[in-house]
Amino acid sequence: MNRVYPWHVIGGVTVDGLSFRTWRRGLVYSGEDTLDAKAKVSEPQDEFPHVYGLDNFRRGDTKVRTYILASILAHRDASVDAVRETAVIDFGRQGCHEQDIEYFNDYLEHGRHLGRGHLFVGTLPTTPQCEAAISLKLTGPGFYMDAFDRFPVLWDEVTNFFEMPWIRRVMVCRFESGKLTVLLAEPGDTLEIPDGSGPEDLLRRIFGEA
Amino acid sequence: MDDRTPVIVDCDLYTAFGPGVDACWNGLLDNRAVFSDCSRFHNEKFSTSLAALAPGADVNGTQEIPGFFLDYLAPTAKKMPRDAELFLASTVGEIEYIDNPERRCTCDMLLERALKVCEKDHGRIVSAACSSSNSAFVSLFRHVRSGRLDSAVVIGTDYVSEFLFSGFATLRALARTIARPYDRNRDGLLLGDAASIVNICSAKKAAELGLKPRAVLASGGMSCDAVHITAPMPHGEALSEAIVHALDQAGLKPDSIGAVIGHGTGTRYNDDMEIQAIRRVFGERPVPMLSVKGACGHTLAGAGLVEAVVGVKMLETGLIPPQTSLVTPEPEAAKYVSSEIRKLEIPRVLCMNSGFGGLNAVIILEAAS
Repeated sequence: MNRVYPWHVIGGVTVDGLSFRTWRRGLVYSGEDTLDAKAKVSEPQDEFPHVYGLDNFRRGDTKVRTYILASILAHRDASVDAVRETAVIDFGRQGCHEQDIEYFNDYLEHGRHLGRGHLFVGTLPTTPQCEAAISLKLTGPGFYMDAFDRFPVLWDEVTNFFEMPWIRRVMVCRFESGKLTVLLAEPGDTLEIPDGSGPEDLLRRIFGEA
Repeated sequence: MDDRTPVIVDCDLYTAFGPGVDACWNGLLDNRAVFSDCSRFHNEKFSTSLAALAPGADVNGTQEIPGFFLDYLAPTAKKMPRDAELFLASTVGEIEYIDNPERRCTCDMLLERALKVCEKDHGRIVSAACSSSNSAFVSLFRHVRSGRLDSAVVIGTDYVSEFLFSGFATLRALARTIARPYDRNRDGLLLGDAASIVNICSAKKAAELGLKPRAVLASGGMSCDAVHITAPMPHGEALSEAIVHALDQAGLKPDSIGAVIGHGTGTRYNDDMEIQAIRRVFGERPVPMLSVKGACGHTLAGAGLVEAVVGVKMLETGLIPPQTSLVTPEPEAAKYVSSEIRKLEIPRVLCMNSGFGGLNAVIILEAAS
């Protein structure tokens, strides 16, 4: 079954490891590590002069850094600057299991007493999307949702955000099996989506193979 | 009220005051704080051992607490139709994993269990740190107003585990004395157990089901500070934006709000930020304000649900509970908070939460009549 939604997709990116590929413009970036990738992705270019606030990039783990860089590239793919009135939703199944284990192990190693605060904060599934929001100054609503991969729930939630009159754009994040997809949607036009389509399927349907 | 107005038709609570809404409500009116020594884990290395513990919840061990809470909430959830969507507000921590990895209880496992015991077909986890409950309410508000959903059950549970206790200790957020929201001498928060449930449906669905509205979910707003991952925006600009969005969507002015239930954790940063946000929106008007966290602790993802249930009781009784553990109000908060019971002069209550990541979520409840 297909459903029709009152918004459209303006760009997106998929990150597999340290390989970044955008869907609309076909931009490709890769790095030897996240810092190398940051240097390549965040460097201002004639076409993309926006400079992002990445002073605290190093405080995040690999997942956080990937969300930040993917968010920048999704905007670059859509050829738009970030706007404050952007909502962010992360739709997943994995929560932050790896981060939970990292915090627990660190806590145990330090005598069940001196765990590290930044690792505890990393156990919240909203931390990666919030770090991306901080870097791009996105002040719209945000949350993480797990609906057992019922994707119409995600697309309804995007519609929900656009019914808030102050929201101009929605950024959708999806982390699955080590691969992150980020897409940007704006209100207006319509989009028909089959019920089983997630963010990567949707980008493929709209823009073809990355 | 029109057919798509979201109405609260039922609610329940299990807090450190014990089972039931009235246990919590009467405790708040009595100005009682229910913190005690937490012996669920070794706590001698932390700055405090105090927490608000739900009596009877851990008789079968701490790992059974989520199940115990869900079993308690299930009869209320079952009053709603099987196709009502179940919203589980959660911070998605691995609820207790440190010593028993084979007995992990992840949040999706908790949702599956909730669907089973509450006899619901579909559900979703909404996670926005400590603003998870209110974020679920705001999402649900829009879905009901737009006709995408006509009934839902919103559940939030969290409990004092070593995982959470140690985490807040590492952030130096725990009080060394007692949680004193909006007090000049406050020095941090104390954690608490809570399980709470709110059943919501459209006014039309409520009439079809023969359920009497107890309160109206009149509006909601959300925002993100986008400033710092743990510290709130110092002057509360983003929180005040969320409040204004909630007011605007309902076509309300600030003077149509009768009271504010704040997030009020008792940390210096949070409470200062909230007072700034309130002053920004309400100006010099001394809108009555309180936080329940001085009485039954910070219940994290479930906090907004506890506050919503307290908000319903405020609307039904016309009373505003005193600010528990308030001794000397923070000067800027003095005109908003009181250690006395006050009358709710205007039948609308604004509830607000802020969480790590700078996530703010605000709802407005109004009397059903």
